[in-house]
Amino acid sequence: MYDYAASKVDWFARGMPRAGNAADVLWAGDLVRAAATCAPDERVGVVADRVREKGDDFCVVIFGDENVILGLLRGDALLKDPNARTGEVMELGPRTTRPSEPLDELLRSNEAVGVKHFLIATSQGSLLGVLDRDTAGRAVTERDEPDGFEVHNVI
Amino acid sequence: MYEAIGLEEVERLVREEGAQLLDVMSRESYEDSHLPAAINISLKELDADTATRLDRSRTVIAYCFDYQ
Repeated sequence: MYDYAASKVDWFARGMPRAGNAADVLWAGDLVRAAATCAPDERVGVVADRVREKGDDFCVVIFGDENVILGLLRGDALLKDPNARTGEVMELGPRTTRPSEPLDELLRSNEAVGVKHFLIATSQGSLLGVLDRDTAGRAVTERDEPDGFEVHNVI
Repeated sequence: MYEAIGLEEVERLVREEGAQLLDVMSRESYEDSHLPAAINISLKELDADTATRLDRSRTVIAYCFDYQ
């Protein structure tokens, strides 16, 4: 007998097929895209260029092979001191969302909050990607249209 | 104790050895979402009687919701 220790969350986070009621529900993890990332010892100036090239306005500071999220670099922190290390100026412990969070609930619970992007991560803190609020909103709106919205697991 | 395995090994065992997937969460959790073809016997219900639902000739891979 074996124990799939990382369990359901790991399976779904890796874009594997799911059964049950959730098979018909859009999840946060279904629509993630790659985020700009950096290591904590990189120079802010170098990272800022990378973020700009990606067309984003933030960078996730990650560590190790498991891409554990350490912090978030955005706004003034990306502009002020190009020689600073990202680990010195990042925002610690950014809020993350599980890939199994239903999109409906995610948008509803964040309606009053001006969140533009959701960091999608495992319960171990490993970054899976970013979900743009606009993308999530469009998917929920288009879901019931005649042609539907095709979900492609991008993880 | 059971040997802990990762996703790749789960896929291999299911594909090559016909391993059974055992979801040990509650019925509610199972119905909400589970791995395709997984059998549900919650930890509370798992005993010698309920375990007869499993095929003893096949490998069993148990999983929970997240890292235990």
